Amino acid sequence: MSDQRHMRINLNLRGVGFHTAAWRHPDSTPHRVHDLDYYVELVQAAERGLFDSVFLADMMTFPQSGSGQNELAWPLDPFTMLAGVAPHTEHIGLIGTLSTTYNDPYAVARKVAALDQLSGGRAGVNLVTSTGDAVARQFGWDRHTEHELRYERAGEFITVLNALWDAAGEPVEHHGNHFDVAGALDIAGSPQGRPVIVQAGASESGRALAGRFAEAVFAGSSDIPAGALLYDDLKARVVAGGRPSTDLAVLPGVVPYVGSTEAEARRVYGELEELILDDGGNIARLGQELGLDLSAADPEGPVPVDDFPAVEGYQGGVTRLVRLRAWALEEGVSLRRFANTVYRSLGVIHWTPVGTPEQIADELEAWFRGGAADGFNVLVPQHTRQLDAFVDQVIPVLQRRGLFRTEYATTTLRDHLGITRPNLARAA
Amino acid sequence: MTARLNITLEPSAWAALAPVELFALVGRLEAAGAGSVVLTDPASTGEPGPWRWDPPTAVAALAGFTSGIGLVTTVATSFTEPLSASRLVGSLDHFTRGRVGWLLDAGYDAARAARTRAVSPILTTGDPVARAIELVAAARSLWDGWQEGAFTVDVERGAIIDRERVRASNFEGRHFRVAGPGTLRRPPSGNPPVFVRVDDDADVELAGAVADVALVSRAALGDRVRATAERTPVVLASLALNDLAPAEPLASGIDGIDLVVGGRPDLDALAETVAALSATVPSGRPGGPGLRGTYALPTLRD
Repeated sequence: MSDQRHMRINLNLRGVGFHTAAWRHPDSTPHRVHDLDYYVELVQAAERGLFDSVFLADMMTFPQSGSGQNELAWPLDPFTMLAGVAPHTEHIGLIGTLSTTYNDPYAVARKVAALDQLSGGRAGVNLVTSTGDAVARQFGWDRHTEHELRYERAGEFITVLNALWDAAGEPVEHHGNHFDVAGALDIAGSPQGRPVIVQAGASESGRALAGRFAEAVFAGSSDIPAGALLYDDLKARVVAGGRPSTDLAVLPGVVPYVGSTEAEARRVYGELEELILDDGGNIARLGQELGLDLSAADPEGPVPVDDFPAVEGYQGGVTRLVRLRAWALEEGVSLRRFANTVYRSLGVIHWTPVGTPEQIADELEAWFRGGAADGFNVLVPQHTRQLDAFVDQVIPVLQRRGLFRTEYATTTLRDHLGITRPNLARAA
Repeated sequence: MTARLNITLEPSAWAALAPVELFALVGRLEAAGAGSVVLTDPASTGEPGPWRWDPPTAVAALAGFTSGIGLVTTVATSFTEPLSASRLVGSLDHFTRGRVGWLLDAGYDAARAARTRAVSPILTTGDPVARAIELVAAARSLWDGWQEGAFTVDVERGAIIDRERVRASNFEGRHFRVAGPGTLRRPPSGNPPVFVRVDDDADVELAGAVADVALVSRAALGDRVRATAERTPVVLASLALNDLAPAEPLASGIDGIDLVVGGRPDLDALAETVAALSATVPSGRPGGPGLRGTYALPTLRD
């Protein structure tokens, strides 16, 4: 066994898969997305592939029309799904998403700690601050909290979480700008020292938060130079915050289309692309997302990048806004093609290699050795076929190259990721 | 069919068990014919722990290890939002294929309020029962907003959701405002049944307004709930395991038994008691599937 660094691999589990038309493919089973046994099968497949973890994103608003597979991407509450799956798995980490804006830290500490107990130390939580006024209206507010204040609240939220978890049943006293928490968590101390904190936002505030608290980051970069810039920036922030750089795993998203030959991989990709229905509404959809009136814009003309909202004060997802702007400038395509690509596939946000297991492994290795990744957040285009292809074909190549584990040597998520346990001064 | 017999497990009976022990315990209750099990939330009783479980995590984990028994989680209505409650309970109902109930904990105690709080704007305070009643109405509006057939998955037409069959809640109450629609396809049971424990006047008011199943500490309380209820709930008489008299007939107005179990009971003895009780408790008219079927509750579908 080589002592070289291993990749960390996370499955980003979404409905029937990430391709917008995956649900229309005859091999997909969209009618199963509310069933426990469906998720047990998928997570057991990821565990067969020795993945570090499975991750569920979340959405708290009714999906916009025409958003393809997004309409069934998050059919259930993430932590319910993970707790249902947990006893049917043994090793894989279980990461759910929760909003720091629309939850209370005590309730979140308790929920995650209970999953951590159930799974023997495999729980993690991806903390988001949510976007858009529509979420606010689900919780009785008219407007979403502005960006800086949301991140300030998120920082205090995580401080409280860590305090409650570290106290392991002893009373905590916290009084801050956003929370007053006096009392003890009634769930036993974590088998992994503390549940793992994950973060995904790439705005300045998001990166600052990651530098202080995150132990894994799901990054969005579409090439190695951009990935390496983000990687270096995040690691520098971790070190500046007094932690070793290895205490943060930077995991860029990848949407791999795997085939046993290059032609088969292209066929898999092509089959899914063929299933996309273009309803002609993508330009209007882009206008709605960015708050622009594009009704008079020429579909064959350039993307009006200059009219895009400024990052400062933007209430939507800043990471996505930045990527959209960069991609529009890089590609110089027509507005129609741009809008179609944005709402058809995830190529704008994530990198989407199409190829043989060796070719996919080559690309992953290039990112890993190129200083752009500690591992990957795998966004499978279609379940279960493409998850099986990654597990049974790509993982063995990575193992032969000494880039990935050949068995689980550890039992907790924190230990899979190689993140230092907090130094708890608990009474022995 | 399963008996109108609920088992209330106090925290000491379940919340510190290892997963395999909890699955074995609930499996034995199911095999012995219990209709449902309430996992009492330690946060409701204030027992400090440390525990291994909270109720929703346990219900989700039990989903794949049980097939017939109803699983009842707790919602602390003073500290929870309607959207969160509807997603949690509805998700559990999907995973159990319609076997989930929710017990309302409408309490507002100072120790809890000092460490946790709701995230919505506080529209009114000082009336926790009214808040609980309104929370149930708001959660039901989110479930009801997805009509039958809304999750259409029409491959040819390219529609996953039939938007004609989904409507916003636009719920505006004294305690909550919720825009909706909810994110969650209507749960298999339509509306998961609401359980209310009835010990005092406030509980009578709450149970009369929203309960599908009332767990009463005295038979007279059941009569009072019935007198105030719009929809007559099933009334189960709560009895401690230790106070159980052999083959005692049910008092009039009582539909079944709620057996309250604390401590670490001997599994064989408990299973024997539950089997004997389930044979004597009337099962009522035949119900449909799921927890609503067990207690012969109307399905509440549109």
